[in-house]
Amino acid sequence: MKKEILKKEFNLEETKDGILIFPVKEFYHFMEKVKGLFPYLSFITACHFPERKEFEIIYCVRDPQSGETLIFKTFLKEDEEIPSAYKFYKGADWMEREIYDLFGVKFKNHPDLRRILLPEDWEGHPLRKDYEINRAPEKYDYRKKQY
Amino acid sequence: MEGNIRVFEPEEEIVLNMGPQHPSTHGVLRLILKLSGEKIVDAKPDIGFLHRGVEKLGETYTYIQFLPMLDRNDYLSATTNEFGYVLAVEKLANIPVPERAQYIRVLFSELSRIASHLVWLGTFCLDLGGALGGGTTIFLYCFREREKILDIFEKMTGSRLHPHLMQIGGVRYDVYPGIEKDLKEILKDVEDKINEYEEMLVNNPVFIDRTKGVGVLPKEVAMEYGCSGPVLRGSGVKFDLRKAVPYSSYDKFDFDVPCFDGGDVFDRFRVRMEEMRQSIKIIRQALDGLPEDPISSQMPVKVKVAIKPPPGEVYVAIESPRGELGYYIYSDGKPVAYRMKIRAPSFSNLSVLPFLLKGHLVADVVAILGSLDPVFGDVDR
Repeated sequence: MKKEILKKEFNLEETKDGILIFPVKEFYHFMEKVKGLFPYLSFITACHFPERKEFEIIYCVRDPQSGETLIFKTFLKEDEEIPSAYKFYKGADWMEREIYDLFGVKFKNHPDLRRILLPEDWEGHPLRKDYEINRAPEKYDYRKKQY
Repeated sequence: MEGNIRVFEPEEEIVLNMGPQHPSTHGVLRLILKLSGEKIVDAKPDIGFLHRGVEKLGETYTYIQFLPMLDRNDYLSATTNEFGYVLAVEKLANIPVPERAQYIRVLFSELSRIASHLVWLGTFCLDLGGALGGGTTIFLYCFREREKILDIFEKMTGSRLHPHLMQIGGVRYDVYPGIEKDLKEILKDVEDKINEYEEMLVNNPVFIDRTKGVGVLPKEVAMEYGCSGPVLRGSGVKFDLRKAVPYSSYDKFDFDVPCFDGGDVFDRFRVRMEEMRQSIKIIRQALDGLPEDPISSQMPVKVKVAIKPPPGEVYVAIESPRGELGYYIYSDGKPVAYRMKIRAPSFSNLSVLPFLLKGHLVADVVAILGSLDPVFGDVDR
């Protein structure tokens, strides 16, 4: 079990669902170790907790040879930035762009941090819990070419 | 400028916009290609034209209400979307599933896989165009076989493309009497036809020239980008979630995982052709071994029951026709999910496109894009 190796080396805690929690401070060191053990990146996502004023950034990696899956996450304050995982996994490019688009989390050293699913002039980040969803859609004025 | 004709200097780079309404992009993909002559220097995919906010809807609808939404995600294989979701919710709330329901689920998700791969084969050959005398021939052939499979879905559930077959705790419909006879006929037919099509294509020199050695994806790159399904197995990584992490009742069936290590368009084509044969094998076993059980452990959803899973997180991934389709659900004990992440296979498969296109000719864009088999309901969610 490669999970136990990581747990021992970094003294990590585990949730009841078997998800490792690692501190943001050790990001580069930890990711390098993970990349060596799990070469396959499955997904990166986030979850917003407005009452704690923080995000959870969740990573899922796999080892295709043994089929072992590892999910680990970190807590991030709303005004903080997190280093990009692009240095270790190229696939993080689009996944982090999606998180930036829908949550507004900024990634340090990301090669191309733009919105990916929504138009570039969209206001707000829809998957945040404080995003208003019951408002009337904006009307587009085709003559003036503006909302 | 000479009159209205602009003369380009040699070595000058031009920017070509392809899509979003291009017939060969299989949906709505915009590609911004930077060309030097006929060669592609840089490619930037622009996605999101079909973004419907499904993940946000997952946080506003209850677990049961959200199920029909998922049929619209990957609209070529609707049952696999439901399959992953119901497995995730069942794992979260510890709901048992009867054996018979599991067999029916496997049977119909494999049928979906064949139908989806047939659409892919037809449209892929249509994209290659001239390789098959216009390419429309095989497109129509494939759709003919697919229609037979969709007829089974229609007989079973009443709709062809969005069957809404599964419910949390089992399936909604039992197999209709006489399905064995229908399926056996269709499977034999499809099997013969698949062999025929493959023979037709593999012995076609134009098809070989257009696909062999085009869009080579090395093993390590495929893993870093998170490619899955036929794209990963075409690059020589033998990883299939049905074998690696057997879910539902896949451990009871005997089938092989096709894997080729060329990594080009041709090998991705071969993987998919072989997968269809394996799916036929699985369906035959599921039909023969169909156990006598109730089809669901829950009441049919005519009464309003709210499922309230305990707080926790769960991630369940299944092998959809395009790869690893996962659902990450964060529950806080309410009947509505706190966070619903859909890990779409096409999204990751498409993100490798800029890497694949660099250095190829414009004519190969369509072949490489077609070999990745993206579905834009799945990419944009």
